[in-house]
Amino acid sequence: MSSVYVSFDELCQCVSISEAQIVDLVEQGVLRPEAGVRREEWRFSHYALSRVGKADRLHRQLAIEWSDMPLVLEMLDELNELRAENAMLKQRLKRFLHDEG
Amino acid sequence: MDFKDYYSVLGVDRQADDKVIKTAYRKLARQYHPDVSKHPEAEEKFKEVAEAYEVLHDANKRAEYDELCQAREQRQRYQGNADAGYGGGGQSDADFADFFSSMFGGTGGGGFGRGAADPFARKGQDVEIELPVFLEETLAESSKPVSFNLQYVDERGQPKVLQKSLKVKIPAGVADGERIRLKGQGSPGAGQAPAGDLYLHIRLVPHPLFDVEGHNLILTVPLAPWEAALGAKVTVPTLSGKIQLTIKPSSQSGQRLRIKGKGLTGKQGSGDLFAVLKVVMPQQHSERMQQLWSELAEQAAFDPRADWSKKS
Repeated sequence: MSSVYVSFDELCQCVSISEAQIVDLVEQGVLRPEAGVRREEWRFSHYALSRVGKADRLHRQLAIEWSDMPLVLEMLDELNELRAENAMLKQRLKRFLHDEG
Repeated sequence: MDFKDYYSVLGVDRQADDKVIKTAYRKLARQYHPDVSKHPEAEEKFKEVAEAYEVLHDANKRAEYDELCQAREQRQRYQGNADAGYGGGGQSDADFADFFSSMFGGTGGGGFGRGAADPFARKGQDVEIELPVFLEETLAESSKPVSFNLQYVDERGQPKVLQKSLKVKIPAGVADGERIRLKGQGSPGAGQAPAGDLYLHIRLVPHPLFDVEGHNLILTVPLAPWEAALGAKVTVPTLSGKIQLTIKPSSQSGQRLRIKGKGLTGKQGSGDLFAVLKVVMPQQHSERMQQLWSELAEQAAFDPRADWSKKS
């Protein structure tokens, strides 16, 4: 049904980002190979694939510079986590609060 | 396909220069980009904006588009009515749309599979769809029917829509936001290139009773004041059937009781169910109840706001 990991080459084929740029994202810690030490041994999860796709879109469609990408991705992650947490807490609070009228 | 006024999509006038167009695009893109925005129609809006920008920021495409607009306006002037059906020998709106998509269509967006040996071979686009999953369905491996439309451009450059239905295995313990990849189930590739992949973006459907916190579930348990005071045995629902919960005497509103292993299935064992107690008052009091409450009020030496007097 699905292969669990993709190699560095497969990852490069899936997006229009240069190899050097992807290596840079790995070095910056934005992408983390699930396995492998050297580049040809790297194995990435689907999550990395969707993250690279997102970086690619943000660069092409919103003109985000590559040097700002780690910060932007981290902030977007945090924003999404906070939105999810906020929605969950609001939902829980609603079960306790009861407005009069 | 309807005629689209790209200038009004970007909110600029016909004479706008490159800089104005770029600024307008950036502003709208930031607002509606699906990776950033939580606007319910973000994706649709962004597609419109991106399409408009793709044409208007390219001098050649813009010139062609302007010509088309002029031709259309002239035609409308002859007809006298912009929206009247056009039965003449010239271009109909449908021809116009076809001409349009063949001129501009299929170039934007993807950018997948570049650098293949065959210059026409292009890996099909990856497709992502949201898949709503009920909490009950995550407890064990389940199978769900999924239907979706694939849009792609065929060998002759014509945009096509392919309807697909699949039965998908959802592994036990999927979490909200997780993606399941189905290799080769995305849009067909061009030439000899492989099809794209399908990503199922898991969305847990909110449950009327249970809230989700990681792998734990939270259930609010309403209690009568005397149940909280005296203790009780209460039947509570879990995702996998009902259980008996013991409420200790003098329980408080907001107190959490842990029921081990009755949460969601996780990669490392099951989560727990937390029962949060909520003391509720009856809507109506009979005369007898009123009397009993009054008696209690007289007998009980309890000040729930004792802390206030110390602090103020």
